[in-house]
Amino acid sequence: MKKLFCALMILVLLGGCALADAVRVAALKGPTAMGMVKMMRDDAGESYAFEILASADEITPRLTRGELDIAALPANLASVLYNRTGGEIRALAINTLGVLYVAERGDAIHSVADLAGRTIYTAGKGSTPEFALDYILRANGLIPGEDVTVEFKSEHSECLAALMADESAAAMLPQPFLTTAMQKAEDVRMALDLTKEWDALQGEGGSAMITGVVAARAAFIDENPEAVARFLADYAASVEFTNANISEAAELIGAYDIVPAAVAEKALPGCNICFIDGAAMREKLSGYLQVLFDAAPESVGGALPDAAFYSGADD
Amino acid sequence: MAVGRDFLLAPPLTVLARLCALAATAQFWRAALYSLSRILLGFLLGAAAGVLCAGLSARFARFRDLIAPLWAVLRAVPVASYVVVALIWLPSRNLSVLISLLIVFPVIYAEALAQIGRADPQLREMARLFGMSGGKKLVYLYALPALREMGPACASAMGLAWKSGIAAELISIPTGSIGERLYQAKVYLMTGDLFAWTILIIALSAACARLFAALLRFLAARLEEV
Repeated sequence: MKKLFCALMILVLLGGCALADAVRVAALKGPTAMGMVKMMRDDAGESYAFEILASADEITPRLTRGELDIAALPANLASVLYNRTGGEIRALAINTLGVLYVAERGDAIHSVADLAGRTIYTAGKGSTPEFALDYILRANGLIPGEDVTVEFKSEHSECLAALMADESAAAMLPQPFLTTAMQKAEDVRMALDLTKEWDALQGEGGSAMITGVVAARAAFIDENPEAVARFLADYAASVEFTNANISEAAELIGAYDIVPAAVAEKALPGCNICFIDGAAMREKLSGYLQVLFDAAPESVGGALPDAAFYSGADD
Repeated sequence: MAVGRDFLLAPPLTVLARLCALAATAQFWRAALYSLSRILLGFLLGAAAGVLCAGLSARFARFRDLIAPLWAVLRAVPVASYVVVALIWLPSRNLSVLISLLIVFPVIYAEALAQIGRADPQLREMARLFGMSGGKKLVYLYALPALREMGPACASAMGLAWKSGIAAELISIPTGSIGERLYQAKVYLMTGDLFAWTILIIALSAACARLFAALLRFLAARLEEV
């Protein structure tokens, strides 16, 4: 009996070893996963274990418990986790710039000033959508609550439903959902590109609107530097592939059930998938977090993260 | 490792500290007032509707048959379903009034109807024999016993109103509500704040239940004097 038990334990340990070698990566069902499709196809389960999850709420506890090694997260959430865990999570690279657009059913809105007196429906309270919209409105002289009404819904589909019910309203929708919305309702039009509006406000050399970063556990980075370097190289190549070969990438995206291939093909240019690491990441990300911190300190976890947060930016 | 992680489960001292810190801000009390006023209003409307419909059901069997399926549905539907559906048509500002109303109504209706059914038949016969007026019958046969007996049911309905109202606020996130602050505490992993706000909700819920029970007793006493 004892011998059998020992044999079973050895098998379990060996089995665990084999699985532990695979880097566990999680992405969200959207632009972050869309940038990884080539990596997912080429790897086929050898060195990476990919998971595509529906919301950041699922990723946070698993990442902090050590069940995930690398995860794509909203940029401000990475900072919040860095502060809350005392430095156990670090940002590796920026993977998505701005994906937010203002949509309307008509042709009335051509600049941020045209939003005055309207109701904007959006989801994403407590994350990039809330802060980006707040910043862009205020910097353009519109005060949310007075000049513009911002109504938060819990899902993007609810925003679209509200837009369909109210013709004079606007909705802030992300890609690729915007493309899905425009396919569902013909008169929905993309009125404003908020990434461009942000850039216009910040000017040259300023921060960019960042939606997502790819972050990892600090323990994982310190223990497996080669694996991290390999991941980053693979990821950079995958992002370049997605941006350069839109139709092929769209097919893969449809195959992995992220969004339908037809939607992906139209949406990809607007998704602003990128790969920015190193010193450039630190510059852009810290600038973005500063804007958030100035608006609401708790949105970045109470304090701006220090240099140790930006992994790989030591040069 | 989950040990020593403040954001997973905040220690009691942290929670108390956060509660005191929050209680010093005007925002805290404004949020408390926002949610309190709406949930209380929803409770009162639901209770009034419940009592009214119970009276009508007791008097008119047709009305009771009409209401029966509605009551069965309202009682069974989970709070989240109400909120998600209502959010499609209504703004989030006063949603907790509607949700509290919908949750409280079936509870009070059932209890009030049962109360009316329990009216002492011998007293009823006596009232008929002595030719008591409708108003007096209402007060002495039905209202007084109800005021005395419905305390526990109202207390549990008040608790339900608070639970469902806060759940509605958490899903619809109206600006300036307790639910919004709970949501923010969740998103920013401020578990100390999360527990602090929960303590506030429990305190408000218990206070409302006590106050309403006292109100019922007071009304009963006044009616007895009449």
